[in-house]
Amino acid sequence: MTALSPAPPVPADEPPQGLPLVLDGVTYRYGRTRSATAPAGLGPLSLAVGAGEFLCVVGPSGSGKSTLLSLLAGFLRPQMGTILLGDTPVTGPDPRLTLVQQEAALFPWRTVAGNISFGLEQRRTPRAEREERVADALRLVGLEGYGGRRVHELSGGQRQRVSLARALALRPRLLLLDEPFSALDDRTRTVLAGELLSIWAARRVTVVFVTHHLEEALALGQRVIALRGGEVALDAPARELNVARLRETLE
Amino acid sequence: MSVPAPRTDPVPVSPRAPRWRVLSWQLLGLLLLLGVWHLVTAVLKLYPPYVFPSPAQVWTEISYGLWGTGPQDGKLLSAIVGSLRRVLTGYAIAVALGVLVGLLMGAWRPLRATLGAYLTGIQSVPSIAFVPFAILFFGLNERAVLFVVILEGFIPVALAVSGALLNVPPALRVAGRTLGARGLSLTTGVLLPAALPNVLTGLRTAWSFAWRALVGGELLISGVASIGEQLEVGRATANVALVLASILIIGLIGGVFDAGLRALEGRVRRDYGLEVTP
Amino acid sequence: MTRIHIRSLSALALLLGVASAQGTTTVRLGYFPNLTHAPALIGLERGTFQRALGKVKLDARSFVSGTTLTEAFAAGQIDLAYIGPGPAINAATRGMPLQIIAGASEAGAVLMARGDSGIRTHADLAGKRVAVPSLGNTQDISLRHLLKEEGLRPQTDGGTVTITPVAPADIAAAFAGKRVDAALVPEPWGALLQAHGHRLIGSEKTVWRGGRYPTTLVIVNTRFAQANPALVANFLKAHADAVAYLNKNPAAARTLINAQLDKLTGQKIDLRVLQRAMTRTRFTTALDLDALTEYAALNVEAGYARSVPDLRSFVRLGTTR
Repeated sequence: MTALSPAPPVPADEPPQGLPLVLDGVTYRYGRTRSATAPAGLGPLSLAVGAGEFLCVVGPSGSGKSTLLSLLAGFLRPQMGTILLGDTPVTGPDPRLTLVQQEAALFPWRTVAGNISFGLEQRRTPRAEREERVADALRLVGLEGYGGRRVHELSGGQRQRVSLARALALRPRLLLLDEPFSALDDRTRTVLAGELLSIWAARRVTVVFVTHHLEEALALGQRVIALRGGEVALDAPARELNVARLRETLE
Repeated sequence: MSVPAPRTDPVPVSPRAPRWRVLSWQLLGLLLLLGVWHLVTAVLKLYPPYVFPSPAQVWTEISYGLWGTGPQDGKLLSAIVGSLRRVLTGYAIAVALGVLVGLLMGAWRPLRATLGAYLTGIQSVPSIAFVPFAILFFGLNERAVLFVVILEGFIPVALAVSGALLNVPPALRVAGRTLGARGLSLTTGVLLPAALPNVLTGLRTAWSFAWRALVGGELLISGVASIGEQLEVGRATANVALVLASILIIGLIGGVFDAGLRALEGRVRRDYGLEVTP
Repeated sequence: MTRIHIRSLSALALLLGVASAQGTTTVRLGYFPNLTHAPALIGLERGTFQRALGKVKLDARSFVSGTTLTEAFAAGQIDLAYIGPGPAINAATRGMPLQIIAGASEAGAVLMARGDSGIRTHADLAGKRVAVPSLGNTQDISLRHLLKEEGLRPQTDGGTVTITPVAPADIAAAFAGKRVDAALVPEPWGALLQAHGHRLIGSEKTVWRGGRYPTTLVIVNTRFAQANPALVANFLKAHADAVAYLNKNPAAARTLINAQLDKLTGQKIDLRVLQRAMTRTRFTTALDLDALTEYAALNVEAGYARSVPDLRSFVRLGTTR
């Protein structure tokens, strides 16, 4: 697999590499009222993800996947424990990481380029650099020449590519993906998954990829963890796992 | 059996009647209406002119009022200018105030639950009912009219803004936050633009409310050049042709602005991909 | 079937503004609760109008201004009316079927300024808000002429004076709320305002033509007059009788007028106030045609009409043909 091939030499203007992620005793419980629709709690959960590692998280709904992502993205604060990205804790939405959601969630009032540029504008990146990074991100996801398009002119796959480009333009050191391909048809899903892998290989960003699609998890991840009832039920390198084993763990 | 047509993706081509045909239908309808009006008044003389004047008589009033050169002509024109200035001032203030209050209500749910309910209640009161109250506060003058126009205009904007903010898809909010927007930049950069289509619908409602409130207020507070006053003068001098001319102008101006806002709304909705057919 | 037919026909007649003459059983009389309409108030209070009409029922309706009365007239709901020359001329000009058949009062309108407004002369009206009973009515046209003579113009004509319609009975409240600064009002409202401490800045004489101008006329629906010449003649006799009574017994007349005004407006007016108002008003059945013609010219000057109508075509003093 690509992940195991030695890293290519780093050019001077290459974006920084991924940071290691360490969760120590992270716990989050929702309010006492436990309804069927309430999201599941999590933890206590301890986990270490290496710099540049591609981790897939699987689990049935209610296993705490969404909660884990919300904690990592800084939308929730752990009630106990710490989340460490590199040397510093994640205490809120963090410029070092971005989240790609299940829906592309593109801003329809902006063009494709405008969407990708949004996060850079929030960081007050100078215009020239912004344009360069937008073009770079578009190239990365294979959408050169689409910068001036309106969002509604794109297909579902193209939208998810823009969503990915929008996250990558910020050069995150941790990329969180929440079932990003689940709304796509199988063919597009496969193509996009391949592209994600090559981008990851080129950028060497740390990736946490959440999916309920077991085959996808095994195909993409270097390492797969399975969550059940808010706890890690299984943690193993992908090459040591198969779908049957995962399914067995989750039942 | 025919072979199913291949799916044409992704640019939607809408099957719609050509613009000129719709326009010609509308024109035909207008001519028909004018014809019936002419027939009933000028040919059959079913009504005396002091009850229902003919199109020609109304046209005479309009032409004197808009481009007549006599010492007392051109009053409709100055009335239109006065009314437009008044309603645009009021509307601008109403929109600014409405956006502000809407933002506050959108940001803080208890405010929406209380103030929003009151505003909905106030909205159901016909604007004309507020005029005597406004006169007590501001006197028999333009400010009383402006007050009613602003009151009527700001409520739909405030309700639309707060409602639209609450209906912004959570995914867009999450996207904005993960991309580094927060607080004010999240509001202006994500929430408000996301709310825009629904806000525009509110702006259109606000326009029609404001315009109606203006004419109603002007009817009661004359003394300044206004369409409402022309209506009142026509009524006071048994000049029904002037009354009808004023009504036509009120309808025309209201309709033109509404069409403009509708076009803007349609454009935004298309850009947002909310409507496939233009 | 026939009944329905007849009913729809009469509904149509009503719609067309035709005073139906189907064996007239009711005479509908319009008037205002003003001292300048005193002959109407007297005729009603003394019951002389009803007596003159015999078995035909008198249906008297009071209106707040010429505007509303004219609307009712246009809708065919008024047969006879006391009205100012402004609305009468406007209505006739628009082709309403009306004839002016008598005068009722002259002068009787004064220009009052709010006590604390600082207005002392006509010239002080610059930049002020002046009330008239209704736009296009007799006092409105007088005011516009008065302003012109003073070199002032209404705001709607690019000047500084704001002319606003306020019912005469509401002027006292409008003054109290400082919503208007001055008012050109028919009596007794002028005298009443004076009694409240407001300032008279134009007497009935300075308002126009040295006080020789008609303020109230008697009009009749032409078709009603053609169908009921005797009724109209009898009414005119009662009208002349009321005018004579006013001139002969002013003190008794005041009490009767007061009783009517109280019924109509709920305001009891001090008899001394009423007396002062009456000295400014002249009651006469005569009609100064020259003044009426000049008035029609002022109506054009004010922008309410485009031409002076031929008054002779609708003035039929004392007779109906």
